[in-house]
Amino acid sequence: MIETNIRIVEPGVNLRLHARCAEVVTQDLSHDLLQRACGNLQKRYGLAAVVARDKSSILVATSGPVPKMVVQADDWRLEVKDSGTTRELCFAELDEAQLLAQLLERCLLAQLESGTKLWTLDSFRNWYVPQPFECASGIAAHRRFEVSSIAIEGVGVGLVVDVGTAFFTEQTVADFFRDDVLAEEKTRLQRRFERLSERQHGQKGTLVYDFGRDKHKCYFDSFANGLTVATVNGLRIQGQTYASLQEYYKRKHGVDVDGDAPVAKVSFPGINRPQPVIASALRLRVMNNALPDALKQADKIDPQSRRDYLEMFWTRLGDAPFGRGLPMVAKGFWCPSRDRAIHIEPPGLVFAGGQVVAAPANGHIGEHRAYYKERHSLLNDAGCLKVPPAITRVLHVAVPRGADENVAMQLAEQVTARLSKWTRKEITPELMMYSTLDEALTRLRRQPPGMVLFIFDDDEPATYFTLAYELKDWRIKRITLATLQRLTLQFQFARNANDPRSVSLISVPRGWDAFIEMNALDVLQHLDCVPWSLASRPHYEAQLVIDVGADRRYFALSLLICRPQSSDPFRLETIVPIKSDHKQETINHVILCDEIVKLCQRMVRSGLDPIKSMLILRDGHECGREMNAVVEAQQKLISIGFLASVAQVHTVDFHKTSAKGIRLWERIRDCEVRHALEGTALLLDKGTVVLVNTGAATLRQGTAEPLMLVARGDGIDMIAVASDVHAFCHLNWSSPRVAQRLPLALKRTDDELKNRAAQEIGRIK
Amino acid sequence: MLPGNMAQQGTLFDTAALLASEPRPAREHSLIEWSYSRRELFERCLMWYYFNYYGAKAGTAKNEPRKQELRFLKSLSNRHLRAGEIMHLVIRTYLKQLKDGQEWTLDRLLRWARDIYNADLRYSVSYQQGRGTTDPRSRSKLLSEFYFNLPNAKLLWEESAARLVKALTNFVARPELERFRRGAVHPQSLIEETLRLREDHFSLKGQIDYAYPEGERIIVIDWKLGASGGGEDSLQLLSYALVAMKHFACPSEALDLFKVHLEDGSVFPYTVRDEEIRRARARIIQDSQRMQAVDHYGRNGVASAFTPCRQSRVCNMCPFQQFCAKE
Repeated sequence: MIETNIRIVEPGVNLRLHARCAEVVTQDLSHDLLQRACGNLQKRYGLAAVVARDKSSILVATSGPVPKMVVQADDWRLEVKDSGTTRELCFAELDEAQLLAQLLERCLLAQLESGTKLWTLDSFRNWYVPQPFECASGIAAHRRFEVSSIAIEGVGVGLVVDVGTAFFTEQTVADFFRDDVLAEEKTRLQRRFERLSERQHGQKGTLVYDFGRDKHKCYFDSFANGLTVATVNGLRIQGQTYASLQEYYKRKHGVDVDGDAPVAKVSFPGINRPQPVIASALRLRVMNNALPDALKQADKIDPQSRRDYLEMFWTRLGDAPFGRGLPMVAKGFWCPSRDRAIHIEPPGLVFAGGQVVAAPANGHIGEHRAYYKERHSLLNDAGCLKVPPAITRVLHVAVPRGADENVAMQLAEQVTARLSKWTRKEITPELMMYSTLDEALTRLRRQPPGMVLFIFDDDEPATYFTLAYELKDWRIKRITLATLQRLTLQFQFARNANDPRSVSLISVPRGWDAFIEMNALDVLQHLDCVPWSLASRPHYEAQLVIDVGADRRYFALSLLICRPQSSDPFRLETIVPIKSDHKQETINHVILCDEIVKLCQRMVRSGLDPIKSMLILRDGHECGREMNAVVEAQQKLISIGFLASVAQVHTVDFHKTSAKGIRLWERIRDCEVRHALEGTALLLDKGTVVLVNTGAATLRQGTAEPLMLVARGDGIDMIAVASDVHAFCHLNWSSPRVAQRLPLALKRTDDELKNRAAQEIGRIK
Repeated sequence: MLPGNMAQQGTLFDTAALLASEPRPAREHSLIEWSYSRRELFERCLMWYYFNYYGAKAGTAKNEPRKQELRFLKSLSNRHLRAGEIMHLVIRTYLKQLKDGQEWTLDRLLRWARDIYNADLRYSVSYQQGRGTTDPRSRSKLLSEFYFNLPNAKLLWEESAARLVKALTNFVARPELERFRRGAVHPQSLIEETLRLREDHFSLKGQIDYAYPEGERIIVIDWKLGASGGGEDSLQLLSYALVAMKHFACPSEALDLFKVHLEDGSVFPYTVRDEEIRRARARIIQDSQRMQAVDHYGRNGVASAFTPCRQSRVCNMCPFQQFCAKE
C-alpha cells in the first residue's frame, strides 16, 4: 500500500470553516499589500488570514472580531478593519477548497510560531529545529520541517510536511576574521570561510543573522576591518537615526553590546546597500558541496526515519494543530486508494542489432533490479543503438603537468577502450601534458575541432568559461585535477627493472572503474551516440522541454523525437539561448517563440516526417506570456513542416521537485515503510500527477524525490503523460545501473544549464 | 572572431549540428562596444536599454514609431546623473588647471557648480510651469523629476545639490586626497580620457576618471559622488585597469586602483591580480554576448523582445516610463 507524508484535515470532503471577513483600506489595493495585511495579522496577533476571492478583503480564522491594525512604510499605508461578518468556507465548493487549504496551512504556521521553539529563516514555510542533531568539523546539522498544503479532489485538504536538513557553522563571522591570532592561523581561518561560503565559485556566502527575536537570512559583503559597533557612526535605519551601531542595538533591541565587538557588512533582501551588523551574530550557512565527509550523509533520510520524524512533528503539535476550535487532522498519513496510486509499467529497451531488454513482467523488486543491470551488460555486449558515421576517432586528453602522467595515461586508455567497445569503432587516446591553460588552448586549436577530456586545476568560473569559449567548436568533458589527484594517491605502480622510465600497474584505486565508466559514458553522449532507446512507441512522438537556469541567465530547449521502428527512430537536440531578462523567471515570449522555431527548423532541414503529437514540458511553470509564444510557435511549426497540420500538442508544467514537498513510500506493516517502486504515480486530480522515478530497485539512501506534472489545459491524459515521462527516465545513459529522476530531454537541459551556470562570472558589478 | 551569442558555444550534445548546416545570418554585426554604463543599463532594465540604445537613436530601429518622443525623453537627465556629471566636470577642470600650473579655489569651484545646477533648476521649473520650451541648444538640462512632476522634486534637487557641494568640498579639502590631487601635475596624467581596447572577442570603451604614474606604479581613480557601497569587485575599475594596462603598457601588478567616495571622503584601494583581470575580461565577454543576443531585435525595432524590469525603484528613475509596456 502506498502511503504519503500528507495528513488529511477532518472531516475530509465535508470540511467547513467559518472565517471572519476584514476590510483592507489602502490607496492602492494590490495583492502584495493584501498579503502584507495577512502577514502582519499573523505576526502581531497570531491570526491566520488569506486574501479573499474578491481580492479586496481578507478572511481571518477567528470567531471573534479582527483587531484594528495599521501597517505603513515610506510610500504606503494600510488599515485592517473588522467587517462584522463571517463567511463559511466549504471544501465542496470548487473555488473554496484551495482557500481553505491555504487558511489552514497558515493556522498551522501560526501554531508553530506560538507553540514551539522551531525558528524560520528564509521562508515562513521552513521551520528549523533549534538544537543540531549532529556536529562535525565545526559544522552543525539541523533538521528542518517544510510545511505546505494541498486541496485533493474527492479527499479533502491535505497538510504536507516534509523533513530536510540545513548546515551552519558553529563559528561566527567574528571568529573567522579574528585578528588576535598568528598570521598563519588568520589566513587558515579566512581560507576556511572562503571555502565554506563557496565565494571562489562566485557565491556571496549566505548567513544567518541571529540577533533579537528573529533570525534573518543575509549575504556576506565584507568584513569591516578596524571598525567596531562603537565606531560605526551615523546610522539611519527604518527612518531612525542612531549615533552608532552600539546605540542601535541598545535602543532597538534593548541589548548592551561590547563597543569593541567587530562589524561585518551584509546585504539583506530588499535593502539596497550593505548594512553593518555585529559580526558575532552571523553564522555561515554551509551548502552541501562544502560539507566535510563526516556530514555528507547527514541529509540522507530513508523513508522509515522520515516517517518517524514526521510522526514526532505531529505529536509535538498535539490534538489541536490548527488551534482550539478549529478542525483536527486525521491520525495517520494519507494512503491513497488503488485507483489514485498506480504503477506505471517500465518500457522495453532496444540496443544495437535490435536486441531488447524486456520490461519486468511484475512488480518484484529483484526483477526490476535485474532490468537495470541488464541494460549495462547489453551495452557492453551489443554496443550503441546509434553511432554517428562521422564520429571522431581521437580522444584528446589534456592534463596539467602537476598530474601523474601514468595515471593520466591509464585514464585516457581506459576511457577510449570503453568507447571503442560501445561504438564498435577504434577510438585512440591523444595525451597532452600542458603547463598553462593558454598553452593547452593554443595546442588544441592547432588541431581540427574534436572531443577533449580536459583536466584542469582551477575550477573558477573564469577558467571554465575561457575553456568553453576558446574551444567553442569542441566537445569538452571536464574533470578537476583534485578529483584525479585523490585517485592518484591510491594507485600503485612498479618501475620496470630493465627500463626505469617505464612502469607497470600493480593496483588501481577502489572506485576507479566506476570513475572511468562514468566519464566514458559522458564522453559517449558528447559524441552524439545513442546507447539505447525505447523499444515501442511512446504516446507522444516528440517531447519539447523548456527549462530556465537557476540564475535565470540562460534557458534551454531540448527536443527529443522518438519513433521506434521507423526509418528515423531517435533524435535529440538541445540549445541554450541567453536569457537577457534574468530578473524574472518568465522567458520573453518573442525570443521563446523564435528559439523554438529555430530549433525545430534545424530538424526539418536535416529531413523529417512531420510530427503528429508533441508534449511540451515547461520546467517550473509556464508563466507570463510564454503560452502565447507556444501557440504562436505552433502555427509556425506547421507552416515549416515540423508539425503535421492536425498535430496534437499538449503543454504540461514539470516541477522537478513535487512543489508541495509530497513524498511517497510503500507501507508494509502498520508503522513499517520502505521505498516505493520506480514508476509509482499518485493522481492528485485529473490534471495533476506526482511521479516517483527512483525507488526500491536502485535507491540506496535517502527517500525518492518525486516530481510533479500539472496539465496546462483540458483534455490531457495525464497517465499517458506520466507514462512517457517515466519511460524516458529509462534512457539513463549516464548511469545505467541506477534509476534516473529526470527524463532524458530534461536531464539534458538541466546538465547544460548547470554547465553554463558554472561558467558565469558572479560577484562582480 | 565574433563573440556570437552563447548559443554558438557548442552544446554538450549537439546532434543536429552535425547533420545540418545553418544558413549564415544575412549580415554579421560588428562587435558591440562594451562600456560600463551600457552594461549597467542592460542589467537594470532591458526595456530602458532598448529605448536608450535603439528606440531613441536616429540610425537604428527605424521601425520604431515613437522615435521623436523617445529622442526627447532620452535628452532628459535626473538629479543623480546630473549632479555626477557636474561633479566630474568640475573635478576635471580643477585637475586640468592644476596640470597647467593653476589651482582653483574651493570657493570658485563651488560657485561654478552651483551656477550650473541652479540653471538646470530654473530651466526645469520653468518647463514644469509651462513657461519654458525645450531648447536643444540649451546647455542646461531638463531634470526628469520636474518633467514628471514629482511632488517633492524641489526637495530632491536640494538634497542632491547639498551632496554635490559636500563631495566637491571633500575633494578639495580632505588632506588624505592631497596625494591624488597632486598626481595631476605628472605629464602623463590622464584626466577623464576615453580609451578604447579592442580584442578578438570584445571591444571596450572606458572613460578613466583619472590616472597617473607615481614612481613605478600607476594610480587609477574612480570618483564617486555617493558614500561607500558594496564589497563586490568593481567591474568598472577593472575595466579601467584593462585599458590602463594597454595605455601605460604595464602589467596588472603595477596598478593601484582606488574608488573614492566623495560624499564621505572614503578611499577604497583595490589590489589587482591577474586572476581579477581574467574574471573581468570573461565578464565583459559574457556581457557582450548578452547584448549581442538581442541586438538584432533592437536594430529591427522589436521592442517586445525587451522585457521591462517592473521594479518600481528603477521605473521611477526611467525617463521612458510613459512608453513602458508593464503588463
